[in-house]
Amino acid sequence: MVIDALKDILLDLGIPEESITDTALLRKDLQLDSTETVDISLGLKRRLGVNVKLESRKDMTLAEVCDMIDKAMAATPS
Amino acid sequence: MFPLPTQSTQPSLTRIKGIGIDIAPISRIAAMLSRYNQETLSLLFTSNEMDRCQSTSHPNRYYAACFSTKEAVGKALGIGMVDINWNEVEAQVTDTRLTVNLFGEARLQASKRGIEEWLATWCHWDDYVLVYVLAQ
Repeated sequence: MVIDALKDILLDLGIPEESITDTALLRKDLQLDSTETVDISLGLKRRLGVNVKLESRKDMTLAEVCDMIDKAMAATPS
Repeated sequence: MFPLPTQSTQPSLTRIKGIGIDIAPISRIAAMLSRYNQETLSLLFTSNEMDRCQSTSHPNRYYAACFSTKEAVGKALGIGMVDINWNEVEAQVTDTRLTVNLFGEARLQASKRGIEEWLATWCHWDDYVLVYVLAQ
């Protein structure tokens, strides 16, 4: 579910489907800039109701982003 | 034309603790704004920013100025937006003036660096907004 939501958001941003893999890095591989990164955070808030901050010193893979989302969802009171 | 700080606010080089500059494409900010409601956008903009931008004749341009201000402040702090939330940096934008207000962690980070004042200015052309900030 989390990966599906993330994938939908990335597709909406015009990222080619074949680039969306677990190991793809946000900056190096998908070449996302700050506007797109914040757009993903807003999309996750709207679709899943979680606040996930994706600005980080280290480039993150999509698998790591999914992990962050899972943790944020677990910490969010239902 | 890019407005320069007035004589009374002319920065002293020895006092400058950070410089940040950012350019944002207005059309991309507009596309983002069109996808989300106010509640979701509150992750990014303060309610004051949203109220002010909505009351102007060019809301997208002013939202882009707010977005760029946040990025420019992050750069001037030297940490980008990594340790601070987007809505902890507030831009008060008018046609001729840009004022920066900080809250929460952004305020703490500025305080840690001895920053007491922000001088900021902005301009726009075609599809772009440019923001320039000096921390002193």
